[in-house]
Amino acid sequence: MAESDNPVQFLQSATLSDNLYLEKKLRNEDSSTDENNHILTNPKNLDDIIREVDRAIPAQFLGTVAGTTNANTEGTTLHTFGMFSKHDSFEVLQKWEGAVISVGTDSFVARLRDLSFYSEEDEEAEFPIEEISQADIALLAPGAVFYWCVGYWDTVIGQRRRASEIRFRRLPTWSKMQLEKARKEAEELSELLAWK
Amino acid sequence: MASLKREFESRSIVLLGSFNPAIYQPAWLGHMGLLRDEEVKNAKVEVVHPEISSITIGTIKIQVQSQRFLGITENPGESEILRDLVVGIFKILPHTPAHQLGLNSDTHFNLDSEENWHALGHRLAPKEPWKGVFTNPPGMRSLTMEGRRDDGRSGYVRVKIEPSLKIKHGVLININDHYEIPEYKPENGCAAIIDILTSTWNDSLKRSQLTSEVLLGS
Repeated sequence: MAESDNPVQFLQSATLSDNLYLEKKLRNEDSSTDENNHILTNPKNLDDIIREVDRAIPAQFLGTVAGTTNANTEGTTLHTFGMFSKHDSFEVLQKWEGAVISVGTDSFVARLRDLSFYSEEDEEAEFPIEEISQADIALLAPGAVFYWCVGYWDTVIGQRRRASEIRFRRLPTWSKMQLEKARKEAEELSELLAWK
Repeated sequence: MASLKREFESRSIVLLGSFNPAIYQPAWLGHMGLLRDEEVKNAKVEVVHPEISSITIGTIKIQVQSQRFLGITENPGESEILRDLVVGIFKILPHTPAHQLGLNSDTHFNLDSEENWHALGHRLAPKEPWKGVFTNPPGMRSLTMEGRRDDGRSGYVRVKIEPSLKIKHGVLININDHYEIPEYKPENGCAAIIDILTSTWNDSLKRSQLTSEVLLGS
C-alpha cells in the first residue's frame, strides 16, 4: 500500500525515523517558507496531515496528537508512545516540591513536600547554593518554589548515572505596563476606601 | 507482585478550546520568563504555522492546533515543570477559550514473566464468556473502563490497559483524567480550566498511582 494511502503505516515509519512526522510531511517539495519563517504548505496538504494524525489514533496507539476534527467526541485522551525521538531517559526515585524558607551565604533552607507520595509529612532540609544551576540562581529567594528530583539518567548508549536536580518554578514575568496598571488600580481602590 | 516496575512514563496535559498555534514559540515563552535562556536557545521548532505548531524544549513537547493544546513530557521528573509551563502560558493568555482538560498518564510496566502477563489478562478479561466464540484460546488486546468523577467536578476518568509495544511481557496503562466546564461560555476564557489544573494535579497523580497498583495487584 502506498504511504499516503495508509496513515497508520506512514505514522509508524515516521515515528521510527525520529518522529518528525509533521516536519517530514510539511517539508515536502510543495513547501516553502514565508517572510516570517512560517513553513507554508497548501491547505489541502495540511488538512490531510491533520486527518492522518486523527485517523491513526483509534487504529493503533502510535502516539501523536489525536482528535482535532472529532475533539468533542474523542475528548482529551492521548496516547503518547513514540512522540519523542529516542533520547536519554530519567527514572525518578523520589521527588519533592520545596519552598525556600531562608537564604544564607552558602546555603538555603527549604520546606519539602514529597511528590512521590511516600510520606505525608513535610520536612526541612538545607541545600548548598552551588547545587542550583546558574540559570535559576536569580530565582532563589524566600518563598520561591522549586522541585528536587533524585533518580537515574539512562543514556541512549546504555550508560546510567545517579542524578539529583533542582529546578525552580518559573512564573510569567509582569510587564511594566501590567505593573503600572496594577499600581493604578491599587491607588484607585485605596482612594475609594479612603486609606491614607 | 511485589512492586511495580515502571519502565517508561509520560505525562501530558490536553486542553480543548480555541487556540492560536502561531503564538507558541520558544522565543515568546522565554520572553515571558517561562523558560531558561539555554532552553530557548536549544529548543527545537518542528513547525510553526497559523494552523499547527510543534516545539520541543528539552523533554517537553508542546503541540498546538486550532482546537487543541497539548503539553507532554516523557521525563516524570519534569511533570511539574510541564504543569507550571502550561499554567504560566494560560495565565498570560487568560482570554483563551478552553472548556475541557485532560490530565493523561501513559505508563509501561514490566510484569517480568509471561506467566504474570497472561495471569493479568485472565484476571481483567476472563475467558469463560468467550467460550464458543473462538476456537483457539483468545487473549486480551485492549480493555477500556470509564467511570464518572467522584470529586464533584464534571467529566470522567477513563483507564485503558493493553499489552506494551515497548516491553516484552509488559503492559501499558493509559489514564485520561478528564474535566469539563459545564455551561461554558467562550468569554470566560481559560481561568476555570487552569484552576482545575492547579488544584487537582496532585490528586490526579495519586489516582494514577493508585489505579496502577490496584490493576496490577501490587
